[in-house]
Amino acid sequence: MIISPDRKDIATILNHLGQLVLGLAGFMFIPLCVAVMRKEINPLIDFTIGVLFAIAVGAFLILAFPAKRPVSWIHSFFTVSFGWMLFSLIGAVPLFLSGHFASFIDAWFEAMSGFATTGLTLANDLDHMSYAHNMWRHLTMFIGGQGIILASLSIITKAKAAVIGFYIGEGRDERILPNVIATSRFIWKVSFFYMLLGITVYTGILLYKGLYIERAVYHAIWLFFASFDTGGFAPQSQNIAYYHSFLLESATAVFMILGAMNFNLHFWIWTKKKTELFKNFEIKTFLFTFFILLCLIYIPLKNMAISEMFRKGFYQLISAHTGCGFANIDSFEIMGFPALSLISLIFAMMIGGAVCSTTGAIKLMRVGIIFKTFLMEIKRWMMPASAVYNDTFHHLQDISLSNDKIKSAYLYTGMFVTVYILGAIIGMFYGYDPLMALFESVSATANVGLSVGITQPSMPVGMKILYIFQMWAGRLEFLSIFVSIGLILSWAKK
Amino acid sequence: MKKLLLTGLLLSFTLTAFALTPLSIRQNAVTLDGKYVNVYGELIGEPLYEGDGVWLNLVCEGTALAIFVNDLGLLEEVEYWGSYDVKGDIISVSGVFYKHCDIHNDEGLHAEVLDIVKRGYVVDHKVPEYKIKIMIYFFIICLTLVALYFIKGIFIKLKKSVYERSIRQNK
Repeated sequence: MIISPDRKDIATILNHLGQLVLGLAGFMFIPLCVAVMRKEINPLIDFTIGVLFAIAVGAFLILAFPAKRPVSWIHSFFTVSFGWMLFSLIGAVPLFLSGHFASFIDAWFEAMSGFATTGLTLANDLDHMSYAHNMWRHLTMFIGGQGIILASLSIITKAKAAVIGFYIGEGRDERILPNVIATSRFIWKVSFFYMLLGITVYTGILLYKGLYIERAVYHAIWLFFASFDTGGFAPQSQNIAYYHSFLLESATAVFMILGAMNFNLHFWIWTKKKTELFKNFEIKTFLFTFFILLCLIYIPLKNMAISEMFRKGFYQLISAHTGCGFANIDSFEIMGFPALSLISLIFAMMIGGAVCSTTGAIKLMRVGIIFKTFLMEIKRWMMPASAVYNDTFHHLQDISLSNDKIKSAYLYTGMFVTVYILGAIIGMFYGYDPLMALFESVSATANVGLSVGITQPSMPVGMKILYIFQMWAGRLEFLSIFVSIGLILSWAKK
Repeated sequence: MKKLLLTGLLLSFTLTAFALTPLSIRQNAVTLDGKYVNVYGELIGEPLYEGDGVWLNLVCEGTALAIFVNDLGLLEEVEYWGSYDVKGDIISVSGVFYKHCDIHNDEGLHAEVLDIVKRGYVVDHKVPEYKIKIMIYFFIICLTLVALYFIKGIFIKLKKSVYERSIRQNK
C-alpha cells in the first residue's frame, strides 16, 4: 500500500519549511554583519531585505500552516526536497539585488550552485563584488556542505526522533554516532576544527603573497568554505589562479581531500584507530581510481614539463575527483585538453568522493562495490558450482557484500549515469559539442563546478534551469525528490 | 637600399605589439605563445609577490590575464586597484606572452612597458530608491506577521483558559 499525504501532512511540511526558512534568515545575519563592518551600504540593504523576506516567508508558513502531525518519513522527504529549492530561491534574493546577475534565474542558479556545493557561477564582474555578497556566496557552500536541514535541525530542533529522515533525505546514508543529532554535531565539530586550521594556513600563505591582513582573512575564510565543503567558488573571476601560488594550490588540494573523506572515517581516525586510513575501502578505491585516471590524463600530456603537468593535470584531477571544482587554469585551457584527458576528468567527476562527506556524485563506496561485484562474479565462475562464496570489504569493520548493498550501488549509479547522459543530450540539442555538453552536465549533477565554458550568463535559460535541476537532484541523490514526486502523484490521484 | 627598407619594415612590424584584450589572448594562447603583445585592461585586486617580481591581474570584458612584472619601478604610477569600491587604473602593458613560463610555472605576460591609459577612481555606490521602498514594505509585512503571531498566541491562551474554566465549572 502506498502512503498518500493528506492536508494535515502538507500543513506539517509547510510549517517545518517555515521554521527552516527562519533558520536561513539567521544565517543571512553573517553577511549582514560583514556589510556593517566593511561599511558597505548597498549590500547592507540587500541583506536587510533578504533577512526580512526570509522572516516574512517563514513566519507566514508557520502562521498559516500549523503543524498538525509529528514529523514522519513523508514529511522529512518533502521538507528536504522543497527545503533546498526554497533555500536557494530565498538565498538568491540578496544576490539578485547586488546587480551582479543579469536576471533572477542567474542569481537563483548561483544560490543553488552554492547550496549544492557545485561552484558553477553566473556572476558578472566578480572582481568588483562586495565582501558581504562574497561572504554569502561562500557561506551557502558551507551551509550546503554540512547539510542545510541538518545545519538548522542540529541546532534548533526539538523533533529529534524524526531527524533521521532528514539525514537520509539529504543523501547521507551513514550515521557516525547512534543519535543523528550527535552525528551532525560531530560533523560540525570536525568542520570547525578544520576551519580554524584551514583559515590559519590560508591566511599565512595569502599574507606572504602580499594581501593585507583583513583581506587575507576574508579570502582565507572563503577559500576554506570552498575547498573543505568541496564547493569551488572563489572571490575573484580567475578562481584559484588569481593568487598565482603553488603553495595555496597545494594547501587547497589537502583540504579538498579532507572534505571528500567520509566523516565516519574522520571520527574513526580521531577517536579510535589511525591505521583505519590505510585499510579503508573508500580510501583504497580513491587511490586506485585516482592513479588510473591520472595515467589516462597524462598519456596525451606527456610532452609537458613536470611542473606544468602538476598544475594542468594533477590539480584538475584532484579538484574533479573530490568534487570541489577549483580551477587554476581557465575554461579555454580545459576546453583545449586532449579528448582522453577530458574523458578522464569526466570520469573523476562522475565518481566523486566518499559517502557521508561534502561531495556529490556516485561516490567511492558505490564504485568500489561495483568493482568488487565484478571480481566476485569472476571468482564465482572459477569455483565449483556447489561452492558458496561471498566477498567482504573493510569500511571501519569487515562488511559482507550483501545483495542489498550491491542493488543499492547499482541503483544509485544507474540514476546518476542516466541524469549525466540526459543532461548531455539536452545540451547537445542546444547546439553544444557532445563531449563539452557531457562535461558540463556531469559537473553540474556531480556538484563539481569545473567548466569548459558552457556555463556563462549568456547561455540559454533552458540550460540554466536544467543545471539548477541537476545540481539539486544530484545533491540530494534523487531519492527524496523521487519519493516526494511519487507522494504528490498519489495525493493528486486521491 | 630596397633590402634595407624591407628589413626595417619587417623589423618594425615584429617589434610593434598587437593591441589585444585578455579574452583575445586567452582564445589565441597557442598562436600568441612567445610573441610580443600589447594588452589593456583594468588592474584588479593587488600585486601578488613572487620572487623578486609581482603578479598583476588585468581584467577586461569579464576575462582576466596575469601579468608578471619584474621591474617594480613600472608600478610607481599605479594608484588604483579594482575592488568593490574602487575602479582600478586602466593600463596598457606590452611584453612577451607565455602560455607556460617555465620559471614561474604559470601562464602570463612578462611586462616590459606599462602605461596608465585611464586613471581609476573611488566608486560612490548610491542606494537606489526602490531598495529602500522594498525594505520598508518588507519591514511592515514582518511587523504585521509578528504581531499576528503574538495575537494568535494570546487568542489560543484565552481559548484554553475559557475551556479549562468551563471544565472546572462542569465539575
